[in-house]
Amino acid sequence: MDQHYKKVGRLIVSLLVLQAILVFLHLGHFGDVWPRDNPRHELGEFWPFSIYPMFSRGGHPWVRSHTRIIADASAPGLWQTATYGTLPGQPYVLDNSGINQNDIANFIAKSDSWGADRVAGIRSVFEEDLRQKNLMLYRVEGSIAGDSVSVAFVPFLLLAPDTTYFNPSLSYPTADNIAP
Amino acid sequence: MTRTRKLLHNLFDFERRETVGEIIFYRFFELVIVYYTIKYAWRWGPYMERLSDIVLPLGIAEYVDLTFMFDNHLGTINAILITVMVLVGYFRLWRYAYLATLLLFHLHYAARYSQGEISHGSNMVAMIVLSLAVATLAFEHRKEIRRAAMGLSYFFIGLSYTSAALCKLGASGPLWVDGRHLWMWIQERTVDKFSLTGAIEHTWLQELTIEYHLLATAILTFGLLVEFFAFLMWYKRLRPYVMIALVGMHLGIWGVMQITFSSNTYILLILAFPVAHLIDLALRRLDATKFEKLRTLSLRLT
Repeated sequence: MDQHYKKVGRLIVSLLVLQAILVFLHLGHFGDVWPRDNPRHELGEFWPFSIYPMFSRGGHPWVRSHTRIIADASAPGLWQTATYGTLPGQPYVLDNSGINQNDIANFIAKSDSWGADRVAGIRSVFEEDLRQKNLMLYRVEGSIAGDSVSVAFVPFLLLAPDTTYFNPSLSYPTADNIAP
Repeated sequence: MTRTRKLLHNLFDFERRETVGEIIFYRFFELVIVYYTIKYAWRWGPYMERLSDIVLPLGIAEYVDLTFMFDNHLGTINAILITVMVLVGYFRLWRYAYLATLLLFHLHYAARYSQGEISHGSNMVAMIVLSLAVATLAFEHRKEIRRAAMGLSYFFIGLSYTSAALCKLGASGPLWVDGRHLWMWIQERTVDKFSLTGAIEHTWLQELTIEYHLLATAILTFGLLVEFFAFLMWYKRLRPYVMIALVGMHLGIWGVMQITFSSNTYILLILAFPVAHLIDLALRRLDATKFEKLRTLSLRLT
């Protein structure tokens, strides 16, 4: 029996060492926990090994996304920041298309470059729906404002059937202009 | 007995005689893990066909360009491979099958979640697959394999929740429990739900939480304490209470934030109650012939 306990003891230590090595080599989530000048700020861990940092940053502003169907892509005021009550168009219901909301939100919040591949990537998620519809992707920003939470819908990308428009008042890092 | 030995004894308990109920329960537990592995494999595999770009490389994707998995049927093919491998492992046809399952599963996860989200909903299932793989490879006899797999599972489940609490304390300190932080996450989820369904809806619990700061703070305090002390599930006597508290925490997350960690919740529920003991009690009520038939059947299955 002693042999068995020695063996499982060694197994636990080995797996913990493996976990520590993999987590330290894939530092991303330490960036979430202690976000001090970590160049790989949001990068991952080594699934299934993780330090489980979800919801660790209490009170930090968040960024999500919202998708809407826009009838007229040249309507005035389309590129203005909105609230729940002033959003133009109709909601594009992601559940109906089987699209994962996290994917869209992360495309918008975590993309460090918006080259042709990235634009093609986000367009491919919506597939056929883009043949007939203009879809506006909003960058939704939340932050604590006193004793309430402020939520702002910032127009980000307009996906039209034949082209893609960026919000003219925002600047985007592209493959050409980000520092190496 | 040293503290380490006591801990290992609580986790593995190799000396104790194994009952028929335990063997049946183990096979049931293993089947649940097989079910969730197949479920995730098929949820992620076909979805990859609509992906074309990597936003944030995870795991193996940091070293290998996994775009070859997109825009074709490779995700589905990998789901088939995972299904076959995990079943081969379950039916004891190849000793390395669970390890192969884990490696294919990792590739699957890395390809599916290269879109920026770092999902933790499947970690528990995969850590148990790892425990099954390691136990199968490290031990020869079935009883030891079962004890090792269960002990490793308890160890890594407890560690994961405690680690989550330490991350919260590391990132935000004790003030993580400020109820306004919960308001932030509720609003975040409201945006997600609005995007998914086109409707803005709050549950009654969300409305109560938004109205009463103290309630929001109490909910977060409960969650942090339960996570922090999750490692106590390593001790047999405390295990049911810790696991039920964790189930309560998951139900709270579901009620307040509408996020379901369904595999975690069901696995904890299965492990929290003395199911093996109940099976043994039920078997004792059977007459000798039926008992013998069931025992033979369970031995054949295991």
